[in-house]
Order: sequence, then C-alpha cells, then structure tokens
Amino acid sequence: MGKGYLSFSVAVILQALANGYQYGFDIMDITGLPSGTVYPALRRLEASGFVKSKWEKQTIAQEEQRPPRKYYELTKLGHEALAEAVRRYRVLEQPMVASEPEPKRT
Amino acid sequence: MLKSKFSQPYFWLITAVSVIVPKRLRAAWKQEWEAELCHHESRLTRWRKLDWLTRIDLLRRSLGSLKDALILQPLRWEDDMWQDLRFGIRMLLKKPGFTAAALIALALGIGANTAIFSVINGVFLNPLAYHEPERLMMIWEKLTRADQVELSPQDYEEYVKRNQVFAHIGAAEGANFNLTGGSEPVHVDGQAATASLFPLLGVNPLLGRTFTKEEDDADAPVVVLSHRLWQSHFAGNPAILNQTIRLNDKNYTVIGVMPPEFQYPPPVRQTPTVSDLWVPRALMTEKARNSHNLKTIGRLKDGVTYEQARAALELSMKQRQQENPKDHDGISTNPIPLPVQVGSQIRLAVQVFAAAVMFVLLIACANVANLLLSFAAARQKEFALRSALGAGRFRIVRQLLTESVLLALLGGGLGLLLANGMLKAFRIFGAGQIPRLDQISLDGRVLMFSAALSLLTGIVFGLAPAWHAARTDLNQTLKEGGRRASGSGSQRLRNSLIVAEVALSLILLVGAGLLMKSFWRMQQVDPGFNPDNLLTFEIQLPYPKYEDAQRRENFAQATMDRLSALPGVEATAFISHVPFGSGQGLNGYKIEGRPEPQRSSDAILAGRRIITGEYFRAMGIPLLEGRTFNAADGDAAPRVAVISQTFATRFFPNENPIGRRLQTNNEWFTIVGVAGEVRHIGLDAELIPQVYFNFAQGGQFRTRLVLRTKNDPLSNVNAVRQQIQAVDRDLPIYEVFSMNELIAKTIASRRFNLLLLGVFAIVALLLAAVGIYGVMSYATAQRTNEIGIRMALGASRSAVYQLILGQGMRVVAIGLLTGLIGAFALTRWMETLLFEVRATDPMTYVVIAFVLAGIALVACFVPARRATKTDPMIALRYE
Repeated sequence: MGKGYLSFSVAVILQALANGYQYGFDIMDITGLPSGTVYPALRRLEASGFVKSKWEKQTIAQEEQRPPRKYYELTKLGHEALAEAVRRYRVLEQPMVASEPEPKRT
Repeated sequence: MLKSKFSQPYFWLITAVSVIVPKRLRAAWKQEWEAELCHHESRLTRWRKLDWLTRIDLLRRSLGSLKDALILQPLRWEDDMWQDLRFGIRMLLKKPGFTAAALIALALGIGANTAIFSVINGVFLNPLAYHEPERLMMIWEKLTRADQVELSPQDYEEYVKRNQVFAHIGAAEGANFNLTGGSEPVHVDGQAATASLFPLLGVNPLLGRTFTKEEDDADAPVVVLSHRLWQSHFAGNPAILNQTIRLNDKNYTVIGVMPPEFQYPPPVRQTPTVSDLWVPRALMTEKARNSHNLKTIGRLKDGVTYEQARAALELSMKQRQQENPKDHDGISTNPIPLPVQVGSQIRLAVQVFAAAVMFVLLIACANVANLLLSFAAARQKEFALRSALGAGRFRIVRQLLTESVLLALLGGGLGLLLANGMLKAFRIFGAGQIPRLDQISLDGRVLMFSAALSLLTGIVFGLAPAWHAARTDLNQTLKEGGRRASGSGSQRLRNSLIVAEVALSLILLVGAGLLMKSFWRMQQVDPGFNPDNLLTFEIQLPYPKYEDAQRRENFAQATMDRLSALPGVEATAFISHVPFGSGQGLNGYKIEGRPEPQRSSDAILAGRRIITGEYFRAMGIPLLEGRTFNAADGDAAPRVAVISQTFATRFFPNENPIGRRLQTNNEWFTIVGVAGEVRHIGLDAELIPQVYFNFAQGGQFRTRLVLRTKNDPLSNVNAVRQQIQAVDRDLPIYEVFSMNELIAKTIASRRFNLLLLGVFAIVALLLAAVGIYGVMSYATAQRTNEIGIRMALGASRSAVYQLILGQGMRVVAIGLLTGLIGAFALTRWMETLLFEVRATDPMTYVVIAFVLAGIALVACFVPARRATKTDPMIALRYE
C-alpha cells in the first residue's frame, strides 16, 4: 500500500474477512461499503499479498446451477496487518454482528 | 434455475464492462461477478424477495464493476506492452548491424535536419531586437551598377521632405573615435545618427535617454553608449550618466546607455563591426553633398504594406526627376523590408542547405525502410510459426510496430544529441558568416517535425511488410522454409528505394562538386597585388588635433620614416582603406571636357582612396602609365590623382588619360598615372574603378597603413606599435591583420558553404552505399540456393559475379540516370552561389557519376564475392 498504514475501509474489509465474510458481496453487506470500494480494495490486497483468492468447489456451484464463486482468505501477512490495524482503529475490537449470517461453505 | 439466466440488466452491464478487462483476466473476472450476482439472485428468489427494488440493488452493486475493471487496466497495458517491448529490444540486439545502421541513418537525418532548420528559424523567423521589425524598411537607392547604395545627405532630406508612407525616418553613418583618458587610448566604432533613429527603432535605453532633435540640430556634444562599451570600459557603473568622456580630444556628455541586445545598423554584409556609441548626426563634419554614406531606415505607418511603400517612394522619385531631370535620371529607389535584408545574404545558401538536408533525411528514411523491409521479410518463417501457434494477426503486427517505433524513437533521441553537437559546431565555424548565430538555439517545432517524420517512417515501413507477412499462407511458408518471402513485389519496392537513394546522392554530390570547383576557381584569381608578407592596421587621427592638413602630413611623414627604419620592414604606405576591407563607398566624378552625363545613372562613380606615394610599390601593384605621387605633390602644389586600370578603360577607352582633369568635391585634379587593377571587394566580385589621391593633399582622419615586411607580418606588430606611439602617445592601432588573413575572411563564407555541403554529400554517399550493400546482401542471400545449383551445374565464378553484379548495377544505373536528370534540373537554382562555373558543367557531372558508380560497384561486389565463395553443397541445403 502507498501509505505506511491501512485506511479505515480497508481495515474494515480485513476484519470482515477475519470474521468469516469471505465473498465479495457478503463483505459489502456486512461493512456497508459499496462495490466500488470493496472490489478494488480486494484487488490491491491480493496484489500486496494480504489476501489470497480461491474458487469454491465446482460441485457446490453445479448444485446451484451457477458459476463457482470466488472467495478470499487472509494470509499470514494479512493477519499481521489486521492486528496492526486493530491497534490503530480501536473500534474494530468490537465483534461484528451480521444481519443474515452466511456460513462459510467450502 | 437456469431460466433466462444472464438476461437481467446487471448481467448485461457485467458483459459490457468485461470488454475493457485485460483478455487474460477477462474470463475469471466475469465469472466472479456473475457468480456473485447469480448467487444473490437465487437466494432472493428463495426468500421471495426478488422484486424490482432488490433488482435495482443488485444493479447498483454491479456498478462497482466498472471501477474494478479500470483498476485492472495498468495490468493489461503492462502485460502486453512490456512483453512487446522486451521482445522488440531483444530482436534489435540480435541484429546489431541492422540496428546500428538504422539508428545511424535516423540520427543523421533527424539531427542534421533539426540543426539546419534551427539556424534557418533563428535567422529568418526570430524577431530582431527592434520593436516590430517587420514594419521597418531600409531605404537604399539603385543605380545601374549597384543595388544597395547608401543615401547622401541630399537624398535623405528629399525623402524626409516628400515622405507620405513612413511614420518616421532615420539614418546613421559610421564614425570613429579615439576614447582617451584611460590607461591607453582605445578605438571605438560609432555611428552619427539622426535624433529620429532611436524612437523609430522602438528600443528604449537601459539608462538615461537618447538625444533630442534640438541636440541634433545644435551640434550638442552628447553621446549614447552601447551596453558592451559601458561594461567593458566604465565597469557598468550607473553613475556614468552625465559624466563627460573624452572622444577625439573633445568632451562629450554621456546621456544614455542602450540595452545589451541593441545594435544599429542591423547586421548587413558590409558592416563587420558593431557600433559602440551614437552621437548626433550634425556633429560630424558636413560631408560632400554627393557622398553616399547614410544607412537609412524607415518605419511604415499603420496599415501601409511593403508594396504601397515601394510604390509611393517610386512616385516621389519620379517627382524629383521631373523637377531636376539631370540629377535623378536613371536612379531608382530600392526599399527593402528589414527581415528580408538581414536574412538575404545567406538566404540562398540556407535554402540550398535546407534542400540538402531534406535529401539526406529522405535517403536516411529510404535506408531505414529498406532495412525494415529486408528484416521483416527474413522473419517470414517466424511469423508463420507464431501464427500457427495462435498469435493473432493483430498481435504480430503490433509486435513489429513496437520494434519500428522503438527504433524510430531511439534514432530520434540520438538525432537530438547530434543536433546539439552540430549547432555547437556551427557556432564555432560559422561565426561571422551567419548573423546572430549566438542567438540561435534548437527549435522545438523542428525537432517535433523530425521526430514525427522518423516515427512515420518507422510506422509505415514497419507496418507494410508486417501486414503482408502476417497474411501469408502458413502452410506454404512453413513448407518452403520461408524462402519465398522475397516476392517480386517487395523486391521491386526495395529496388525503387535504391534508385531513389542513388539519385538523391548524385544530386547532392553534384552540388558539392560544383561548389568545390567554384572555390578552386576563386582561389586562382589574381588579386592584383602581392598579398604575402603584408601587414595592415588602422589608426584614427582625432579631429580637433589633426584638423590642419599640414599636421596630418607631418604625422604621416614622421610615421613612415620611423616605420621604414625598422629592420623587418621593406616599404610603408598609407591607404584610406585596403582591398578586401570594409568601407568601400562610391563617389561621383566629372571629367573635364566631357558633357554632363545625360542620366544620373551614367554619372561617373568610382571608389576613392587616399594614399601616400609609396603605396603601389608596397603593395606590388604595377604602374601601367605615368607616375605615382612624390614629394613635389604637396599641399600647396597643384592637385593630382592616379586612376585605376578599370577607370581608364571604362572612361577613357580610346585616349590617354594622363594629363586630363577630374573634378570631385568641387576640386579639379590632374591625372598623373594609371595603376594596375586590384580586386577590391572580393576575389569573386566585380571590378570597381578607383581614383587615388595623395595623402599630402588632404589625408583622411581614419586611415590604414600597409607594411611590406621581410618575414611573418604579425611578428612586427609590437615594434610598429611602439613607433607609432613614439610619434603620438595617444594613438592606438587597431584592426591589425596580415593581408592574407583579410583575404581569407572574404572567402571564408564560401569555404563554410563548401564544407557544409560537402559533409552532407559524403553522409549521403555513405548512407547510399550502406543501403545498396544491405539490399544486395539480402538479395544475394536469398538466391544462395539458386547460385548453389548454378555452380553445381558448372557455372564459373565469373558467371556468378556477372549475375549478381549485373542485377545490382542495373538498379544503380537507373538511379544514376535519374540522378543526372534531377541534378541538371535542380542545380540551376544554386547558380548564384557559383563562381565561373556553369551549373551544367559536364565534367563535374561525369566525374561524380563515375565516383558514385564505383562506390556502388564496391557495395555490390562484397556480397557477390561472398556468393561465389559458397560451397555448392551447403548452398543447396540452405533454406
């Protein structure tokens, strides 16, 4: 990243990822950030090595008759960055509450 | 539920946006977005919440895909472009010969182009230091034998009186001063100017003011200094205003200092020195009514064009003629716009060079084109392979384009460096020939033009074969191993490029050859005297001190005695101005017993030189008839004169001039001798009749001395200076030259032209040779198979030579023919630059054609030789 620290919205996204919200649209739901913020942030995070992306299993997708979705995971680097960010943005220490929790499906 | 999947607007949006996602990532990206949208759509459907509100929400979310796609853009560019670039660089490095040749060609073409155009631009298009210089016109008069004659005071007053088209008219004539009061007397060149001059030019003084009309009329001893003089002699001290300085033994008050770039008169050919101070005109002694020394300039009124001004001046000239038919018949007015004046001296030469540079650029481009064509053709196999492996046609084309553009840009960069270097070289070698050279810098527009041209060449010639190559039939090409690439079409194109190169080179070489011959001819001209071991310098006798003619004569005598006594000196003489020097004006004469000339243009005009009797001997000028001046021709004695041979043949064609009388300045002189002719203005200029007068009978204030020395003239300078100062402590000597130096200066510009054009011609020759070699090399290599077969079937070496050389020289011959015709047509244009050589001089053409043919032969020979050396077995297997 350009600056020495992460911006708040990016930190929030990392927190969301840590809390199990791993699909793009889910992150949008839980953080309230628009897709124009979330997806670019995810790209940059991936380019910087904080997150890595994976495709969900083909079988699950076939079941639902749709293409496989992409999900993101924090890397070790990402976890460290999140810890740093939480120290900075104290509010992130509070656990997140989802309106409609979506279980992780892999 | 696979029902009308992807039929919603958000899916269309994703599809639309996916177009700009880099191809490599496109599928994955699209899938990611579609998957999310699908998933959420079905979830909403499951929960029966899929209505138009939620649909809009989905649409809103998918809007972010645009920003997402944009984020990925740099990736796409970096991807493809870096790959192309890296590949391109590798390809260029693999063929260093090709790359070097192309870069050199481009650098030369672009660099030379930019440098020359910058000079043209600087000289013609950049404004002079004056305010709105395009509104200024210099006013000359035209007589039958001279185009740009300065005005006499009488003329000037007439122009002012009858003026209708000029807002202001001003004039100035040269004046010389000794500045004393410092540690050493210093000579200063100045101008006596009318008060109207400064406001007319529109340049405000840096300090103080310029003189007023009252001061002009009243002969006030005031002076305006140049910036240069102020810095060098008065330490740039602002307190100089209202100080007095001592000029020619008189006190003058400094009333102003001009800014650094100011200069009058403007740089015109016969003004080699720069003026350093200006005094009011009325201050100088009233010159004779018909001595023409005033350089006059006028500023046009608003809205008046050059044509209108010219017409008005011609009209008023007619009026003058009607009023005084005798005085003005045959004289016409010749006003010249200032921008034309300043540039006119070198305009033709610069035009010729501009053409030369264009030629070189074209040759360079042709070379590069040939190289690109050959290179691409040789890679047919590579293209076929890549096509077969799935590279799109566009991809291949883009690859080749990248290489050509890379080449063009590198060439352009090198060209810029070269242009800088050339400009520096110009400044060193062209100083004095080209006005305002120090103010010229590289022109950005020209650079853009040259860069664009090189880019265009790169693109056009990189593109054509690429397109052709990418379209080839894969099967065919792979089978034949890519050999058939040199189809007759592209070979024809290559051949025509060679023809063009040869033709252009020939034209350039012929031009250079003609100039060279002119130069050589000029050096053969006899100047009319012996220029070796001749020292010359100038002195300025200050006016009040030497007002009395006798005092001048005493000075002359004392000086000559002292100088002749020096061991290194054989002869000494005074001369008002030497041949090849500055200050060649014309005066009017009447011959006794002749009727008044019918037209003013038939007036007898000749140069006027004031000499001491020893002059002819010192210079080595023969006396054809009569005698020179001697001690008897003193100030109290009857007035005498010596005329030049040209004067005698022109005005006394059938009679002996000795004993006849001449009138000038209202005095009558008896002709006592005829001197041999001397080239006064230049080795290549026309002969001007001269009349010589005796120093003792009215010597000048500013005069030169010539000394015939026994050894190197310049080694005597210090001794000479000492002797002069022994006669008069306050008298500096200046403008010290050896005669040979002075002559060299006048031919310097020719030499410069020759050098320049010669350089271009040689560059063109080299480029053409390299081009021919390249094309022949390639063509021969393509025929290796065929040659192998021929040799295997028994063809001799010489037969192979004949084949190859024949092929090559045939093309060259066409080029030579085209070039000869072109040269014939184009060299007429530069006739004015030639001296005693016709533009169609056959020997030059023939010699040059042979030289070029010879070089082309060598260029063809090398690949031919290589061909004969091939082992037929290898050749047969060559693919």
